[in-house]
Amino acid sequence: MDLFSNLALGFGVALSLKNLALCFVGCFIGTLIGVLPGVGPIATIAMLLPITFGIDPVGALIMLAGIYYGAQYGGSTTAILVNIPGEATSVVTTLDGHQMAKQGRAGVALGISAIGSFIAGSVATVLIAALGAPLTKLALLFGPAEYFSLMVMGLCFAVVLARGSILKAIAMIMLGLLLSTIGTDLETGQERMTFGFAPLSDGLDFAVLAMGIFGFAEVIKNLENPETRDVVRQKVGRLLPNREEMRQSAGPIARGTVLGSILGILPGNGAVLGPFASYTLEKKLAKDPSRFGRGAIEGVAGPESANNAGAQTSFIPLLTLGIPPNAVMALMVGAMTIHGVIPGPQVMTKNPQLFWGMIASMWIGNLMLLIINLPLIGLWVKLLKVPYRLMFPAILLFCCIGIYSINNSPVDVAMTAFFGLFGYALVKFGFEPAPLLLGYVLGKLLEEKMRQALIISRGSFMTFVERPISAGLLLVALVILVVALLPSISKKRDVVFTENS
Amino acid sequence: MGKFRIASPQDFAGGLFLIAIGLGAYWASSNLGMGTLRAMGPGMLPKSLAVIVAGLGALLLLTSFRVEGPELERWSIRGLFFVLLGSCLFALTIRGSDITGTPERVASAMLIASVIFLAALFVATRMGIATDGHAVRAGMLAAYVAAVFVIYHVAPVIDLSFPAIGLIAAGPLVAIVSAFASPETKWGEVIIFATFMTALCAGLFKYALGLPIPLAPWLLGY
Amino acid sequence: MTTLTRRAALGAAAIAASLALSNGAQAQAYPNKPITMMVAFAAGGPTDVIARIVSEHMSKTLGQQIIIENVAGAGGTTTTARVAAAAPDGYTLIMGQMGTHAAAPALYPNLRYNPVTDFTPIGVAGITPIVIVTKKDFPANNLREFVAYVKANPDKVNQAHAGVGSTAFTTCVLLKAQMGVPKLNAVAYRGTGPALNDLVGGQVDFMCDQVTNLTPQIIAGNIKAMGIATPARIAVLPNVPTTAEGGLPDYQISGWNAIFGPKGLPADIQAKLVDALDKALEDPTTNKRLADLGTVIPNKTERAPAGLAAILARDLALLDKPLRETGAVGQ
Repeated sequence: MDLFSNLALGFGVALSLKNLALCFVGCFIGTLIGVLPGVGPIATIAMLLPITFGIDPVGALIMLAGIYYGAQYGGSTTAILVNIPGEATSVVTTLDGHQMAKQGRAGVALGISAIGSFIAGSVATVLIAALGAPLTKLALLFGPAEYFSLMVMGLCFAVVLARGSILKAIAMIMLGLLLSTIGTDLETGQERMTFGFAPLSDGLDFAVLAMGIFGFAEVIKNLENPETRDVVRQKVGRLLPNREEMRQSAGPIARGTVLGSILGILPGNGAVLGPFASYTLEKKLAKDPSRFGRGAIEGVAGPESANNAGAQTSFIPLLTLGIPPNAVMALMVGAMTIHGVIPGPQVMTKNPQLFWGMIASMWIGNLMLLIINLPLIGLWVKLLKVPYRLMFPAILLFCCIGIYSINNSPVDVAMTAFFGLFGYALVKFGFEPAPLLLGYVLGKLLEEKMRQALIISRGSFMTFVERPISAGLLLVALVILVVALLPSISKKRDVVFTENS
Repeated sequence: MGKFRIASPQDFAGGLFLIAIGLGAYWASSNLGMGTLRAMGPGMLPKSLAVIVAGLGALLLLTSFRVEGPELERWSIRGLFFVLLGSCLFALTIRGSDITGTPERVASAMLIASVIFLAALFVATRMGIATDGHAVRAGMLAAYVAAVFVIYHVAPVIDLSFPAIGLIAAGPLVAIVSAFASPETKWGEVIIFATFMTALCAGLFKYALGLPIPLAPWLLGY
Repeated sequence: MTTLTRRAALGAAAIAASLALSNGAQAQAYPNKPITMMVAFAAGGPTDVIARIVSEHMSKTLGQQIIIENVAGAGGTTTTARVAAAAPDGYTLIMGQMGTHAAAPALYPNLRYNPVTDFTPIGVAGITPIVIVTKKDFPANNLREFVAYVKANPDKVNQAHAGVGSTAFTTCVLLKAQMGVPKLNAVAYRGTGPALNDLVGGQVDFMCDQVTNLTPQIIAGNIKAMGIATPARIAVLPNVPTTAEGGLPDYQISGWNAIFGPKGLPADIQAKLVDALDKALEDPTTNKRLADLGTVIPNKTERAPAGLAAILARDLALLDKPLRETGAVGQ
């Protein structure tokens, strides 16, 4: 079969000593980058581009791809250890991952995340190799209307994410949507809610918001109750999940992989939805959903697998079509063009070595991530033993430098401090920050796609129900909402009464 | 309902918070055209969302009278203040800043007012003056806002620019200032640790990653 | 306390010493420290790619590292304004482009710089032709049919662009003005990638953009090229007729990238930078890299500071009226 000869070609390229070394370097740097708050794959790939000038295109792209999925993976490490999501995709991991760390199960959480990511990455790689070209068509089926409906579905997931009051969760989603409208309007170029403040004209950066309401607010919150914090940090449990935990995670990993792979292919950063969708699914399937948000291992295994699967499959539109689905992939386009490879449908036939070499290197990269990260778990967990009085100034320092380096903008650091205050207020008023972040991430796309769809349909809302995929997605959204809302409203009532009796 | 009583103070405050944000956002987007549902203007979504947020806030406010809920938690002013002060100082000094625009002036006025305010608070606690109780807190908040207002208007007279001290100095600055946030801080330890972490960060971010972050413009020229 | 004061005194001494040092260093030949080249757009975009390719060779000639600093915001105008206000010491440059320098004055009424008087031109780094493309099942196969169809069905056709102020936006505004359908339905996307995705997917009908992104899709037959807005056909797309051949001879526009310094740059520093850019563009490897992007390397007179000033003046005049008439307004 063609696939096998192609894969043989790919592994022939990827397994050369030089490319193996580059893949390792990429994954290693990526992991470190991911662990540093703020410094995302975009800044790193941009900075390391000139270094790759001396390397041949295949090697350079293998290394840059390694940085990308390494960083995607590393972002979860901070989410688990210090409750700072490094990437939009690791917001969900904070929910149960950090709770597990607080219970002394940081090692288990990190371990299952590494193992789940590896399995998901391997499956997604096979998927790209076998079905890359036909799957590209899926990306093209998604016009603005379908995308809008997908985002609506995503927002319904956010309702399910909530632990406490549904009313407060919806309020947070709406607040997130509201924050996402800050900045220059895409259609008209008018500035919205920027108060004439130039740094706001491109909107709020995700990292600024996430670092503020998660990172800074968490530090401030931890400072006020030293007792609970230190007790937590004395216990360092097992470093790897045991058989029972593996058994619990098998299903979530499989389901997360499927969800993440499909959503990753979609243009416009569909991969972001993967972890949220997976978490929602696991919470709904669980016998005892109340465990979620209190350190349920399924809540880490599923989303982490979805995250990594999506990171891999988001290469499909880039490799087969030459159209980048998100900002990191756009940078990869830049990297390819700098190396004289013009990304497009021709890459597969014109540069089979590059195409199949990269795919083979993805699997190798995933293996390397596992090899790099399993020993590191011990180190990360030991870091938790650093007394908090030293840990928090270090976290703040890293955050400040990281945020500064996103845009080389000091204002971003000050804005993060502001959102730290904002996030602290949210905590004090009993709001959950996770739905807010999801609302924020989806908000920009939601508005953009809705307005695009309406311009194309000349203002007819029927476009959302006339197109079959869009209608299907809206139906799923409705079902999720009904299923999520009905029992939790009645349950919420019960909880309220039992707590006060 | 009978007697007027707030059953859930946390939700009550949360409701007020949302209403304030909603109203603020509506005001901030008042200059934007709504358009029509068929041809949406830039203001359509921000304004509708602002109304929805305020509406949900009102709903939360209403339920807080009926449904029992937790008390409002105390705010830890010390942690909040030094953590934010540390990072703001980093922002102001890493590349230096001239205070020209309105937002920068408001921010620096708030910064200065906060320092004065905290000094006053410290003195008051030492002298045994009670800083607890709602009335005192409300008074303090009012005094703070007034101070910001006064400094903002005096600010053009004072030069509020900050020098560019680069990572070498701004790094320890953020670590040491934020260390004030914890009562457990041991100063010798913090200073050594801050120096070490800064050196590590300089090596990592500046040299290993090659990020264009100013290291020490006054010493090295970059 | 005494140790503290002593420390402070030492610190002050160190600062004073370093100030003296840096003043001394200033007198040395330019450049004696890394040069920052600002890119007002995200890393990986067309402007960024060209900046990185060109600066890599320029830094060899200058003997100093050139650091690319990407600060995106407000269609690139924030960063451009920052460079306009920077010290004219040759250590802060910008890789400007058509949007930030030729289109911005018409789009941003509160622009904080004048693209002509606030900058010292260094030279043009690359000119990228513009091509008009449609989705693959669009009912027109050449530019004449295209214009006729669009004029006959203005309420059916959707044009895609990559956001207000982008090259795709600006060049299409000019096209629509010259076709006589300025109010044609335009769909805004966040960047060329998503816009191209929907064009290939057939969700929108046509767009105009630099050949760089479009060539592979045209060759693969995923989209159709109607015409290229250059005087002659180009090497990477030999089968695509020019706009003159297609009956729109006035539609002549290209995207360009050029290096600028702040105004008042000393002549000797300007000369050094012009020379470094010349050497970079004449270098075969750099030249090939740029050519692979579909970028045309301007000849020596075109790319010289005077040539850059001429291109800038021409495009400012060309774009001003059509852009103002769109009513798209930034701040």
